[in-house]
Amino acid sequence: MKVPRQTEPEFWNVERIEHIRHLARYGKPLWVWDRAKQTSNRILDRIRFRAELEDPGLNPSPNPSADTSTSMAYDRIQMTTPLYLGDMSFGALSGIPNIALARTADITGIVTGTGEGGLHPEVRKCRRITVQWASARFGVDIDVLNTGLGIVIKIGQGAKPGIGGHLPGVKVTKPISETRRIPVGLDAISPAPHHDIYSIEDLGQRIAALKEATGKPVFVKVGVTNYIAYIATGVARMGADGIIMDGQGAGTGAAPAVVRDNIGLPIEIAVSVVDQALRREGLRDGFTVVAAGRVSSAEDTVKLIALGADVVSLGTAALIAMGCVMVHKCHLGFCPTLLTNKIEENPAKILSLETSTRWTVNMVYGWTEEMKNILDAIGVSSVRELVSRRDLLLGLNVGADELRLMGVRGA
Amino acid sequence: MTAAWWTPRRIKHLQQMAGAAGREPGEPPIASMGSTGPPHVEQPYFTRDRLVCDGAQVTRPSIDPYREPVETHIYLFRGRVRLSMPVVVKLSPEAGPAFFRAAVKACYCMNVLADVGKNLPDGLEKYGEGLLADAGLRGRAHFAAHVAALGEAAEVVRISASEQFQGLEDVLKQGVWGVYVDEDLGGGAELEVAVSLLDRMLRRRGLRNDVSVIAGGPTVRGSDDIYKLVALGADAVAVSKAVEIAVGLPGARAGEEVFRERVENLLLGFQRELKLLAGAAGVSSFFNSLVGSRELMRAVELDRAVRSKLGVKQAGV
Amino acid sequence: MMYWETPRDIASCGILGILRRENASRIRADETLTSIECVRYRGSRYGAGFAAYNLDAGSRYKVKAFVADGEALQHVKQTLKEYAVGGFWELGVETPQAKFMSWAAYVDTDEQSLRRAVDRINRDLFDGGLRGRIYSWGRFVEVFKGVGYPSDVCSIYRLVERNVSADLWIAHTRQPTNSPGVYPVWSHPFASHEWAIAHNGDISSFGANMEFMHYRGVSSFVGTDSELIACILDHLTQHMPVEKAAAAMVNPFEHQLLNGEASRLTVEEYARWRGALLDGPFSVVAGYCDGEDVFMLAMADRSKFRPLVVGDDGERFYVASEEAEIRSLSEDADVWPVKPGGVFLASMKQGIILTGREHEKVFYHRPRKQLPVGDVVVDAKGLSYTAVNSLIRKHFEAGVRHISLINVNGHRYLGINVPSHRRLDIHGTAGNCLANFNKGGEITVYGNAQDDVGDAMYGGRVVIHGDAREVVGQALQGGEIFVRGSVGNRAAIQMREFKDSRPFLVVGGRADDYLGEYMAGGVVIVLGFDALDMDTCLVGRYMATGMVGGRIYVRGRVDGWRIGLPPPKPDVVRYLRGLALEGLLSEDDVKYFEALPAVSYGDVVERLSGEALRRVSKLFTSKYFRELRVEVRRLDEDMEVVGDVVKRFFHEFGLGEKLFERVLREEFTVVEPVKKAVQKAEAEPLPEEG
Repeated sequence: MKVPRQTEPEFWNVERIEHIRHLARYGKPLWVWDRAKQTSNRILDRIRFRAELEDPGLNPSPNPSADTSTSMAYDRIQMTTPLYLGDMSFGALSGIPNIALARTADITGIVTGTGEGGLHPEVRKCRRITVQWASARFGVDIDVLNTGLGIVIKIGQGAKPGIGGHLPGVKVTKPISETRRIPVGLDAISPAPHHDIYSIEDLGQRIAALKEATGKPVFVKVGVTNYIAYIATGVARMGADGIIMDGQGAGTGAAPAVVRDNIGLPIEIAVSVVDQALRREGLRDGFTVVAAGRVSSAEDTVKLIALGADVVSLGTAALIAMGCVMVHKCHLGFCPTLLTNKIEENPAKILSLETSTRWTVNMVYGWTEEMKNILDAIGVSSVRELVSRRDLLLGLNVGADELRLMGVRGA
Repeated sequence: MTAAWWTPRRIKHLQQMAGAAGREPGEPPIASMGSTGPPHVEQPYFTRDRLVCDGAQVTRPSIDPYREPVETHIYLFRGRVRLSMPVVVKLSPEAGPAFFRAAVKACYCMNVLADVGKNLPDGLEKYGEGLLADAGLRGRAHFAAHVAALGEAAEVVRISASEQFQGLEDVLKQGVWGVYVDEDLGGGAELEVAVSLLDRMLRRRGLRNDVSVIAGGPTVRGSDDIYKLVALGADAVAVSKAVEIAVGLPGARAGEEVFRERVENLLLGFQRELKLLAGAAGVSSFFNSLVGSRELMRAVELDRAVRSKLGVKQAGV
Repeated sequence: MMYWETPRDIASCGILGILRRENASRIRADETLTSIECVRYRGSRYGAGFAAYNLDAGSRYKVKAFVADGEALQHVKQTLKEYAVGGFWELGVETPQAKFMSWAAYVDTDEQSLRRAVDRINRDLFDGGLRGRIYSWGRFVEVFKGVGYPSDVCSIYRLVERNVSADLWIAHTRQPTNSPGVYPVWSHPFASHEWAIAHNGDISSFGANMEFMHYRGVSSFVGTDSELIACILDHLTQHMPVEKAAAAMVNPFEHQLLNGEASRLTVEEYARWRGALLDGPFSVVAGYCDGEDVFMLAMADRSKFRPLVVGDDGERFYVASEEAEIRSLSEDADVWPVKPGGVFLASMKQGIILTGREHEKVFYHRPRKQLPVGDVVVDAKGLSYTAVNSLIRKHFEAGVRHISLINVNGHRYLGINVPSHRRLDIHGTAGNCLANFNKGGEITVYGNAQDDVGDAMYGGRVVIHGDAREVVGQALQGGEIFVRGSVGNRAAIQMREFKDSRPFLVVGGRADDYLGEYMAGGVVIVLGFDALDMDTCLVGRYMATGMVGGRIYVRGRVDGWRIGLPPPKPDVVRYLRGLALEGLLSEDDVKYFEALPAVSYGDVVERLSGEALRRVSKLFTSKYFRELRVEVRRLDEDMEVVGDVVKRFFHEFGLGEKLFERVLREEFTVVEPVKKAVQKAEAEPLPEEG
């Protein structure tokens, strides 16, 4: 579907969408240095690799040599590339996209988070998924918890830290009603907090209970808020295997606009301070840091890893690979690209599973090729070695206080 | 309406809440996909666009305003006046008599104060306890408080947005009930800086719980601005232009009834949005825990000097 | 003045308080240690501490300080010399090896001079980096705290070896989320003059509280909310009795304030003390001595976000995060939970002054002991929960059908993965998260349970012969939970049902607030049969808030304003006044509503109509509002739904036919959402298994 004209400010502009579509279509890199970053003003956009400043016009090579493999959860989960697709629920997405994302993980050797809403039976057949234990525990029982590679305790998300999941009533159709066990047509608003997690020791308790019951790795997903460094060290101390941090600007199926636009901090700041804090406390080794929130390109990914992340999560980008054109009407259930529309029992049109899977798989491959090219350009031979290499970065027109906090030098 | 900070996004949001557009009056608008707001997508217009708010996670619970109580009430003037939410609506007769009358009634019903200044159209005296009125109107009705500029005697003194508070010392000694920072009086400072400095000055003198702080004007665009100004030190935030835009002015040709309903719905929407913001931060009590609680905010790429005046820490700590 | 740059410490923990009655023996350090070590898992090696109160201590202040180096110590001594009118006597350094040494001295001076000295020293030692802190400065109280588990801190100060005993102990084990370096200054208890407190929680009013104290004589803060609580308690009680200070600090809801329920705090006082009130989760235990008597205070936040129980065994009063702490010292104590926003106060000479909730003796019992039966008896004493669960799992796998677990004291996560047709009996106090994720099997507790029983339970039975605490049956989706005693906040929250799987929660006593919050299915029955002759409501407030399905039965009449989340009464009354000014209502109507203790939507619908009703409805309804039907009736037509399960309940606890029949003849308030056209689930392949 053609990208509609964007009349208002938009981060996911036409250039970004076209770039991801290229990856999705061909599975091959389009560029080395992300050209779209010139059109936006995040701190992340103004932090550059020194290598780029030296050779900005570099073209991608077909045989980059860098190694993108990595692992999560104290080495228990191996990854071919540091990408995590997630955590969009069955309900927020219309079913086929959920399956496509899960299959992509199996095919490409990464991991997909399945979100709060239970598992579609086709998703259940996939192996490389994580299941989500969220405040409403929708569609989650002991068997679901035992499925997949790990469990994500979702405390919050970047678009609305402190607020629970929200599936608008128009999308609570019969299939969803049965999965989640709630009445048809009523908004499914998950509670704001977990009502058994009111403190850090409560979180430790829940992590221990889930491990006691399933023996699986447990991750904690949070939005980026004040004291994120203390929250992350607390999460690590409480026995989690990793933290997924979702920064401001992250996507959502539905959130009150005032919350989405005013709560939460940028992921690039969070990743840096958390990495440094975990190292200071001797908690970093093996503990996985996943960065999420407006990750739009391989360059974003590599920068976030250099700032201190192990793995980077793609949400909106994956939807764009499957055809999203940023209409911003997911909460109304009438998605023109059939990605986030309401799930009918006998839909007139559905997305092609085969095509959406192929596009997502291609996106992952293309993204990875671009990452390899960047790694080659900056002279780092593997993703594992890249973690925390802030020395490779320079801030252009970024506030001095921010740079100091992030441990990045200014130009 | 031509001021740049009234973006289409802002206008639509206010009008939807008021019921002048869309189909869900009184409801905080829902959005999907990532934010397109300031400071990194839409350009920031004010310092407050570089302030981000906290969310409670892990260390303390957030609160579901749909199911559990978040108290938005504010007591002004040592407990003499109650507001259902930290909002004052500043009215100007230029917006037309139908709107003026409607707003007075709506504010009364919704238990917020209306600042009528020097104007009190006939028949509105009975709403006096819900009104802030100029000292010159003394005697015409029983008002919540009289407001006057420095130099005149009144319970509340109206000042401009500046960083100095000349003349305020004496007034404070005389036992004034409140200080009202009114953007319309100019002053050269940004509202957020003036509020923060005033709040701290009152605390230093041990007067903060005796003297209420009202602040606002035409640059207050919605509940997020209100929330941030409260967190910086205001007991109540004055909105003017935002209300006019919300009901469809200028241009809307509607009667008093329609305007009244729209203002009520707008205020109801503000209250619900304020609850969402506070609940997300784990704050269940505005009066005690939000006013002046700068801890709940962080600044993104804000000049250090300004940050210091605001007393807000930088994002990431 | 950069106080807002204070690094923030967020602590979570286990708390304990033990106070002796005047005629009972003093409490030894080793007893306190045994008790607090029960909840060692709530803490960590990053901090612990004790405070000991002795009424017959001397008339001089014992001042204790942490100092990083000799220079800091010199400064302390120099400053004390200036302010100590009668001089001071060094007791020396107690912990020379520690990063922050602890130094003590007796100081002879008046209270005001000492206050100023302490503030001055603490500010000086804080500017430019923490170099020390005075952490204990009372005549009757001495704080012992440091880095480590409680047993480590006890060793550091040799409390057991020296046979230290006291009239009142406060103890704490800390779970921090930060430690830039590991400093004892962040350990609890925090003391301010004769107040010492230990706290579990993270107050969201931290900024407001800090601003409040900053201009009232405290110029530096280590960065914990707990320290602020001590300062505020100390400050407020200089201006009002402790009952009122506590009633204010728990931040009464506006309706409590206006109904005179908050120790008669006035609106004017509420405004004056703004910033001193606490918002956010907290359980606080505090000690105080005024030279005449020794007091123990406990406060729970108004949403009961942290656990807090109190106990009485005739000789001592207890305050604890978990019941296990109390049972470790006193098997037969009466234990009951402090209510949401509740205050418990006891003194050595007067006994209990405030119980922490109403009718505690009616609704909270000491569960009777039973002899263990079953194929296998497992002794949990001294075992970790992992070891216990592992043993249980092995036995069930080997074919054992009925296991009895004895000497359970606070063990958590019991009863996960109990297979169908198996039974697990628990003798003692079950810890948090009992029977989570379970799908089958039967678990019986001969004792009390704690928070989060039956979370995401999809089937099976849980039978509790005592009480359960907060969040029983969260997302319960099958099977049944029977509680002989009472439950706390948020019982049956998010309970759901599915096809033929309808869960039941039956409570023999009462429930607190938010019963059935966001309930989407299943049945809750609250019987309160120990209170048949009392006129008291069996639930708190906000019952069925956000309810979208299922049904709740509560014996007796539940006032309409207890149901759902109504807007504040002043908002409603003001709106109605506005309508009266417009001529849409009479003054009488307004007066009628003003006279009600609270206004529910039902009240409004009953009395108003037409335009007035349409207008004021906007305060009560919203796009998420779901109308509830509330009826008061006998259960004749409900016997099909509830008859069997209630019969089973009575049989389970040996309660007799007569009582069963008497209870069923009573009136019940029945609450359920008004049914809209809902499709029945069909037999189709389901997206997830049931």
